Amino acid sequence: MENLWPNDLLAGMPGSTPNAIETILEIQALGLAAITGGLVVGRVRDRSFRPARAWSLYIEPVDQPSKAYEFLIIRSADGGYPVAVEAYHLGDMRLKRCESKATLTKALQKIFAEPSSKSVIRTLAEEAIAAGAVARPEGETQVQPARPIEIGPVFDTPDGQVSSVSMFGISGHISDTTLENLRDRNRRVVEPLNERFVVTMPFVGTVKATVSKEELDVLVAQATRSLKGN
Amino acid sequence: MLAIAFWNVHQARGADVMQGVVALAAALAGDQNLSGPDGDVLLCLGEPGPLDRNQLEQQLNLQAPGHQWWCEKSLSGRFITLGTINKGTLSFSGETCGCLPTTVSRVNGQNEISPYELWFVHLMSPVNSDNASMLQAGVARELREAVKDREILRSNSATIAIGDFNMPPYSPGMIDPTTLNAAACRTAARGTRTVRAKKHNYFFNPMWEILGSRRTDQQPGSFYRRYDNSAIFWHLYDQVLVRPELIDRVVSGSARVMTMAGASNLLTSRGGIDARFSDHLPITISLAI
Repeated sequence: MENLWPNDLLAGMPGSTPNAIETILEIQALGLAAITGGLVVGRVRDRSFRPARAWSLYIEPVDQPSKAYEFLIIRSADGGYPVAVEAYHLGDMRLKRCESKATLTKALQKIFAEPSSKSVIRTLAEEAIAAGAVARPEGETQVQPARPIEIGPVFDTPDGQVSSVSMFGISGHISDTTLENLRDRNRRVVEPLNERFVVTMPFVGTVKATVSKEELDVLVAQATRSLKGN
Repeated sequence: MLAIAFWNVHQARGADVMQGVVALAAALAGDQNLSGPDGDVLLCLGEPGPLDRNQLEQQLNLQAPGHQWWCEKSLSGRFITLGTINKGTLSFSGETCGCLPTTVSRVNGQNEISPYELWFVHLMSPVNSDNASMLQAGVARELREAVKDREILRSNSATIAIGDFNMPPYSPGMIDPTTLNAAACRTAARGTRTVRAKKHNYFFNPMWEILGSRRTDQQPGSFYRRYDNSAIFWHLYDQVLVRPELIDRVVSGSARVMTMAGASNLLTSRGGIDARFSDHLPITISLAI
């Protein structure tokens, strides 16, 4: 069945055009990937609670969204100017008020050029390189969004050394032996599958997953059927 | 038992800030009523400015022996965390809303490993804002959404948030259902609040219990300022929030504003905050985790 909605359904409606402030930030997010050879990528998140508007620029090492760092946030009372720009890492200089697009552009230029801004971006680039990323030529810096992966340091428990793990929507703990196997790409843990890989990891104790109401209904129904032998 | 503390040290402008931090950390670790028999401490310094992490770590290990102290500065430089608990039990990720989230894994005897989502908070100050209450509500909403996102990501709603919220417990940013929805009553906080058909999870804010008169055993604020339009002079901007599943883990009466750091008095002889240390007083809470 074809889509019967007219393409110009919302044409001419106020607010349907892209917001200029958000667009300025989106361009900076793309520009960061270009300038860092794709090692550090940016994304803009709309954090508005209407009528106030707020857009955050998050930056992260490529493929490592769990290390996302909120570089700055632009807040507006109504979606227009004036706006307040807050760059958390700039200490006493972290807050700038901008009356127009021109002053916002200048403020962003100044923030990006700050030594502490460069230091944050370099740290994230180093994290990307440590995870095996390589800088790519300009024009090849578009990357697919990655899933968050977070593995904490190992610590002692009565069952031996374990690490806190959160990835692909599940959380739990894995042993140092599993981590070593993973580090070494041991075949007991990592196996190739076409152009992808199968990772097999035993967890220590329980594994948690967040599900929606609908997914829970399916889980409950299938558990019920399973117990009936269906 | 774990003592969790937060101190906004005002860019380390005070001449004796290093001494104060070391004295506070040592006092927390040495008080079994606060940090248990193992002296388990996790302290976060907000706005440490040029405070030297390595020097602080060295001083802690020199002046508060018996523990393996460590210090860590966050990527933004806005926080220094230090503690006696195994650093490996902390899993830091990025920073958001100007706050620092981490997952703390606790192992009690042969029990299962229990993770807790801990947020060190420093929300934006409304000073010089055109509309202070709107800004406070806005930044509180941002934190609430970030907490919710992390709870979903980590499949864990055992969250603690401690730090400088830059607003009092009774501010709309703290109590509105669309902001942090932090209740004063531990019984009320156990449920959910339905407003216009939408359910909102509570936080419990134990700091309400110390509001009121100033006494020798009760310090009702962590920051002092006489505003023209308010009869409140001691402001309780530094607070701690816990999710309902942690309410029973809060050690009774442990949420407090500290006026002493060991033998060092953080107040002047006239009762004001001693600027040699900071313009804020530290806060602490103990959890049976």
